[in-house]
Amino acid sequence: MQVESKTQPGTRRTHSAYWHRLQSNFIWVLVLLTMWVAWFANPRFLSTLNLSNILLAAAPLGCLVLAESIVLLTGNFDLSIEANMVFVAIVGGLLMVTPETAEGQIAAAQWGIPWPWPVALTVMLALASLIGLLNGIMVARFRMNNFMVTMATMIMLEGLALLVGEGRNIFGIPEGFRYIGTAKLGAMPVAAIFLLILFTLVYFILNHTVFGRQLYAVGSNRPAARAAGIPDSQVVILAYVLCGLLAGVAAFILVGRLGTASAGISSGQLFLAVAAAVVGGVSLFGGRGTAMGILGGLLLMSVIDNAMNLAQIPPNYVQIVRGGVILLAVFADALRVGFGKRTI
Amino acid sequence: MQTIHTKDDTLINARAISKSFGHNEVLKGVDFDVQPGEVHALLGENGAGKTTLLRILSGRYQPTAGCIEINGEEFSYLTPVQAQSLGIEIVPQLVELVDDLPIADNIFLGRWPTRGFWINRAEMHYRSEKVLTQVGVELDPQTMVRDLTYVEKQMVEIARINQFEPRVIILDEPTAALSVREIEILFEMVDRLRQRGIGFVFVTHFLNEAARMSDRLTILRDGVVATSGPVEKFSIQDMIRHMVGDITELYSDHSGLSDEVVLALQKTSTDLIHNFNLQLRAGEIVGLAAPKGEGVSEYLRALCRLSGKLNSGEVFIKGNPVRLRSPAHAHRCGLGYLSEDRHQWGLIPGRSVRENTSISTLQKLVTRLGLDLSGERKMVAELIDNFQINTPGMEADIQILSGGNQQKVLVARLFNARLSVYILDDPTFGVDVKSKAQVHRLIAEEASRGAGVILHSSDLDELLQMCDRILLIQQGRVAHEFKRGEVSLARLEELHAS
Repeated sequence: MQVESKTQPGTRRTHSAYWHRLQSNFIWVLVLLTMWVAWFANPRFLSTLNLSNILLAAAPLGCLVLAESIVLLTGNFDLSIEANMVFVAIVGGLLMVTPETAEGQIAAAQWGIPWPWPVALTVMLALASLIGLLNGIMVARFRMNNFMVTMATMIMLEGLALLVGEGRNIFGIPEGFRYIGTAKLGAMPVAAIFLLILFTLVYFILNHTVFGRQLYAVGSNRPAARAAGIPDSQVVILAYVLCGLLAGVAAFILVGRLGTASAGISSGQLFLAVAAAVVGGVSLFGGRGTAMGILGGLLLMSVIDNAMNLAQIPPNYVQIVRGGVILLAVFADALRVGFGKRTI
Repeated sequence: MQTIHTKDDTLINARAISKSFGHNEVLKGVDFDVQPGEVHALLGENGAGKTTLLRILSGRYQPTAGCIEINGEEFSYLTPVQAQSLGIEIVPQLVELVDDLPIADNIFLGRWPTRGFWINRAEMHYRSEKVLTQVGVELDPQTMVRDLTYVEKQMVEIARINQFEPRVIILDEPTAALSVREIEILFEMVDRLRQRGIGFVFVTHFLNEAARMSDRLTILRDGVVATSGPVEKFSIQDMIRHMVGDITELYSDHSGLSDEVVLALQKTSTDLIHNFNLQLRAGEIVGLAAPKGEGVSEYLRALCRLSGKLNSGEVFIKGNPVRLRSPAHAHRCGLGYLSEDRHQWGLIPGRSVRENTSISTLQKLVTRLGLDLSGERKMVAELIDNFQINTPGMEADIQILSGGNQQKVLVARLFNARLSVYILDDPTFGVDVKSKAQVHRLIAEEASRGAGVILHSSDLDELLQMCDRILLIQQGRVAHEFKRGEVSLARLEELHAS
């Protein structure tokens, strides 16, 4: 190999390697800092009970954050995840509810004999994935605008949820189904362990599979990915399917934890999920974000909520602080893009 | 402006200019001057310091050392406003006009003549016409800029600049996006303006244009002046030697033409190309020469289904009829494509050199436990070595590489897939001379291995050098076909422009 010229591009930037390192782990610095402040303000914050509460509360949101992040990585958006979760929660609830309760009798009248909960769960996950698939096909194959498509499905799903559930609270969820949302292994809630397993899985998918690489490539520059022989539409569709599936998993955990399903079990989680993803470093323009960052974003939002809760700060103020954190994250993202774009 | 005639009427004289960024010395004591009415070509590889010098002359950068003498006055640095007021104007590589406004509004952008609160359109049009005719451009000032061709936009920009009575106009890669005919139009305009004493700095990658257009040339290499002098003193080979130092592998030959037809096209058509037929054999490089706007790039993109599709015709790969559905499908059938526009259809920004190199061949690395990452690193390290990619490491962001090295990454990505047919659309566009020679060698190697290559290029010299056959396409049809050695550059240029 012949000797190359001395002016290597990039050598100039090596001094900024530390800065870069700090930047990419910045979210974890923030998480630790926030925890320290929370502990300082109220020592009860670091109690086992409280920590396990944080993780338990974060579990359904965590699934939604992962769901949203996968679609965001492709440079698309999914507004329907929360509606998807609520809808399949109600369908699943109706399918498996025990006939001892009033709702159970109504359900039995409509749907026949209650199904065993594993079957109901399978239906929930399949239905949620199917919704993702439909979103994906419309966005990737028909080239419809992702924002409007998922907004439309969100509105439809909200309507369907009210129609199917008739606006009632469905009680009488089988105990077996509720294991994941209620049980603990030692001090750790099962839901929290499950969430960490999900994050590990997503980490593996993003970094150790062809699909993961293709996901980043499509999100970063879709025409180029296409020219490089990547089946770009399939990648986007698969991302939406995974997104739907994870929304179904979120429904599993949430219904398990609450022991009820209704149209009102969740509200405002969509934007929290988007916010946590962006706070964790996922770019709204696609192609940028890591599993560790996403986990950091989720924990930061959860810890802030919990700490303010412990300090008995009224919910209105909590809202204001949440908004502020999101603004800061978006500002940090803008700075990063600014640095990246600066040329010689 | 009154030109002051002293003994020395040098328009701009930069002496011993140095510029460092941190520890990186980009320019080391460069002298550069422009005389009235001359075209001074500034040549050099990517990274030789051309852009930095231009930015110093136009006031964007302050030099670390040296001085700039204009009009008998010495400056240790210029600001952009100062440079402009001293009559130094720059026409950027990509002319930026407001597409949605007419020519007249663009010429007076921000300085529209007014009558009270209103823009005085009548006066603006009258004055625009004057500005345009001064430089010999016959365009209606009411034409929307979006309806202009690129060369017309450049001419409008030069006309706009000309009203400020410039002394020196810097043209940064003006011909990169132009067809042969348009280049002539631009050169005629430059000729008219130099008659009036305006000096031009002409930065280009195209050496024959530099030879044809300029009076004097200066070649930069690694931040110093490698040579400078009247253009007649240099042959193209001399210029290349000064630009890159000694290279031996400039001409690349390939061998091993076989009888197997790897790609057959029968009566394939797009909107602009009609009934195109081709039998591409293994080991063969077929060149496509066509003026811009003939739709050859669009045809190639339709052929491999990157955008659009063929209106009619049949495609056979290795004798099998195929109906390609997507570039991914084409890849599986053994047909790969490299775009002329690496930013739009090539690079995956924000990702590492490693990921950019391996993205098309990940299937080779799949194991039961996911991707074989160490195997990937080994593969990419070998490619970086073989393809002589100059990068601070395989984990570096692809965007920090120079254009030539980015292009080599894309070539490595494609050739590593070991396909049987490659469609290369201007693979050396905007690439420095050394990288260009390396890319040529790689293409020749891949052909020798038994791949068929379709090479579309705006550089006729490149086609003559590389191809076994050259097809000249005009008005959507193959107008001429030449075997290797059957045609000279001059003849090809003449046909190309006619």
